[in-house]
Amino acid sequence: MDGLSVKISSLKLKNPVMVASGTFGYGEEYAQLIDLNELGAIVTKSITLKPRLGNPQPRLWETQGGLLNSIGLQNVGLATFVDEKLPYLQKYDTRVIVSIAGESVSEYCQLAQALKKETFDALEVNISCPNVQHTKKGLFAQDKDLSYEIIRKAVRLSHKPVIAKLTPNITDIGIIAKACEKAGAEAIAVVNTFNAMAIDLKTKKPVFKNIVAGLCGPAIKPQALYKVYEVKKAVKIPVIGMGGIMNLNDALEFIITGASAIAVGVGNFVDPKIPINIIKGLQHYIKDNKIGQLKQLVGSLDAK
Amino acid sequence: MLQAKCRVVAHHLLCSNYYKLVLQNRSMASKAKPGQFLNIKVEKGFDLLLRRPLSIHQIKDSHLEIIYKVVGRGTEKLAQVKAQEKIDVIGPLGHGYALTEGKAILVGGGTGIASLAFLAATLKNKYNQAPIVLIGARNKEDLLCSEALEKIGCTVKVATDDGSQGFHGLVTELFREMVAIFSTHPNMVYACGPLPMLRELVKLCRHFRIPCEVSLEEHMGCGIGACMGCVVKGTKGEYLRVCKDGPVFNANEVVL
Ligand SMILES: Cc1cc2nc3c(=O)[nH]c(=O)nc-3n(C[C@H](O)[C@H](O)[C@H](O)COP(=O)(O)OP(=O)(O)OC[C@H]3O[C@@H](n4cnc5c(N)ncnc54)[C@H](O)[C@@H]3O)c2cc1C
Ligand SMILES: Cc1cc2nc3c(=O)[nH]c(=O)nc-3n(C[C@H](O)[C@H](O)[C@H](O)COP(=O)(O)O)c2cc1C
Ligand code: FES
Repeated sequence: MDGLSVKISSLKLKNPVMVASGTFGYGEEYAQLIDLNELGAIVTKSITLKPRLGNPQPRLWETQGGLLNSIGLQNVGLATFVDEKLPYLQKYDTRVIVSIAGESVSEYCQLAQALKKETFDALEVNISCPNVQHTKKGLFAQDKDLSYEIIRKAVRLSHKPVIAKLTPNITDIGIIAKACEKAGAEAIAVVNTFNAMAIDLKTKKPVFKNIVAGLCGPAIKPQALYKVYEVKKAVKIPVIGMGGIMNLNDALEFIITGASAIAVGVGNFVDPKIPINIIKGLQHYIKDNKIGQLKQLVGSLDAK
Repeated sequence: MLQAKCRVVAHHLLCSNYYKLVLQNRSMASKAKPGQFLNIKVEKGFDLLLRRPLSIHQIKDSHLEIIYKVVGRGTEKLAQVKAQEKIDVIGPLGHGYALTEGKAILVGGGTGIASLAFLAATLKNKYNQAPIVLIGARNKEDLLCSEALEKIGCTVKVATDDGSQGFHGLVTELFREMVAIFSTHPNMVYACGPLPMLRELVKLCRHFRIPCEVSLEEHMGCGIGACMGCVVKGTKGEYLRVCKDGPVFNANEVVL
C-alpha cells in the first residue's frame, strides 16, 4: 500500500486518489456505497459563510460525455458544516480537505479564520466557481492580484496547508498558478469546470437562467490535461489534477503529466466505485511495472 | 442503498413504447418500499454519462420490476438490454409513500401508475383494504397495469384523453367528479404523473381538504443526495432533493 503514498507539500496522503468538491457532498451518502477509509482524501462541497439557497432549476444538463451544472453553490453554510458535517468525516481514516468559497476577499478571510480551530487536513480555496458572482469582471481566479490576495490571506489566517483551486477559463493559467504559489499555496488544484452553455431548440432560449454553466466529465479531459501541463510548467508546488477522470488510464495520464494527486468528480455519479477502482488499478500498475513508489511517475512525461 | 450488477431476468415490450424490465437482486428487493426508485447505468461506456432513475413497479421475491417509456437516448439504450445480461444498479433510493390506513385513492398518469401499483399492493397486504385507483392515459393502447390492479381487488377507473376507454377527459376531472358528485371521500390521496396533473390534483385535494402525497421527477446527477442537482422548491423557501428528501413528498411540503 505504501507504494501509493504521496506528499502534497506538507500533506501526506496514503494514495493519490481524492474525490472532488461538490460531487461527494460531505461524504455521508457515499459512505453507504464505498469505504471512505480507502480514499486518499475527501474534498467537501464548497461552503460559504451563510447557507446558500443555490440557483433555480434547471441545474443539470447532460451532453455527450459531459455534464453541465449550475448548482449555484447550494450548501449548508459554515456553522452547520462545523457542527454536523465535519465531525462525521473526522471518524474516517482519510484526509479531509475543506473547500471554501466567498463572494468577497473578506468572506474568504472570515471563513479561513473561523475554520482555524477545527480539525481537518487542508483548506481548498475555491476561487473558480462559475455559477456565482465574483467580481464585475469575472472570477477571482481570472485576476492574478485578487487570486494572490485571497490565497495570501487564507494562508496567513488558516494555519493549514492551502490549496488554490483554479479555473481553466483563462488564456494563461500559469500566471494565476504562479501568483498563488507566491502567496504561499502548498498546491494547485486544476481544474474547475469549463464555461459552457446549452440551448433549448424549442424555445430558442438558453437552458440555464445564468446562460453560462460549468462543463465537466470525459468531454473536458484533454483540455484539463493540458491545463495541468501548463500549471506544472509554471510552478514548483504540487498539482492536483482533475477533469473527466473515469478510470486508471485517465488517472495515469494526469499523474504522468505532472499531477501528484488526482480527483474524481462527476465520475462519482456515474459509478461510485471509480475512485476505489483507480486505487486498486494503481496498486497493480506499480507492481506490474516494477515501480517502487508511484511518486516516481509524477511528471515523468517524455515531452522531448 | 446498494450498488450491484443485477441480472436481467426478463425484458419485453408491454404496449406502444412501454417496456417492462425484471431484475434479480435479493437484498435490493427485500429493502424496496413503494415510491422508491432504482438508478440504472444504461450503457457501459461514458458517452451517456448519467444513470437513469426509474421507479420500482413491483417486487416478487428477489425480483424487482420496472415499467418505463422510451423517451430519449437513455431509455432507447436501456430498451436494447437483453435478458440474462447484467446491468449496474444503485437502489433502492429515496423516500417513498407514507402508508396510512383507511380509504385511499391513487391517481396515476402515464408511467406514474408503475410506482402506484406497488403502493396499491402494499396497502392491500398491510391493511387488507384495496385502494381505488384512477389511471390517466392518452388512449386505451397506452393503458398500463389496470388488469393487475383489479386482480388484487382495487376499484380501477380509467380516463383517456381521446375517450377510447373509460372517462373521456383528464384523470383529475374524473377525480373531481368522484369526490364532488359521488362523495367518495378518501382519507388519503397518492399521486404520480406529469406535473400539470399533480398541480391540478393538489389544488383539488386542498379544496376538498384531503391529505395528499405526490411523487416528483427531476433530472438527477448523483441520485443519492450529494450534489443538489435534483432540487424542487419547498414551501419554507428551501430547496429539497427529489432523490433523497423525495421523490415522494407531502403536497404541503413543496411548491409545484
Ligand atoms: C424518481 C423518478 C422515477 C421515475 N420513474 C419512472 C418510471 O417508473 N418509468 C418511466 O418511464 N420513467 C420514469 N422516470 C423518468 C425517467 O427517469 C426519464 O424518462 C428518463 O431518465 C429519460 O431518459 P432518456 O435518456 O431516455 O431521455 P432524455 O433524452 O434524457 O430526455 C427525454 C425527455 O425526458 C425528459 N427527462 C429526462 N430525464 C428526466 C427526469 N429524470 N425527470 C424528468 N424529465 C426527464 C427530458 O427533459 C426530455 O424532455 C422517473 C424519474 C424520476 C426522477
Ligand atoms: C454538480 C457539481 C458541483 C460542483 N461543485 C463544486 C464546488 O462546490 N466547488 C468546487 O471547487 N468545485 C465544484 N465542482 C467542480 C468539480 O470539483 C471538478 O473540478 C470538475 O467537475 C471537474 O472534474 P470532473 O470532470 O471529474 O467532474 C462541481 C462539479 C459538479 C459536477
Ligand atoms: S441527484 Fe444529486 S442530490 Fe439528488
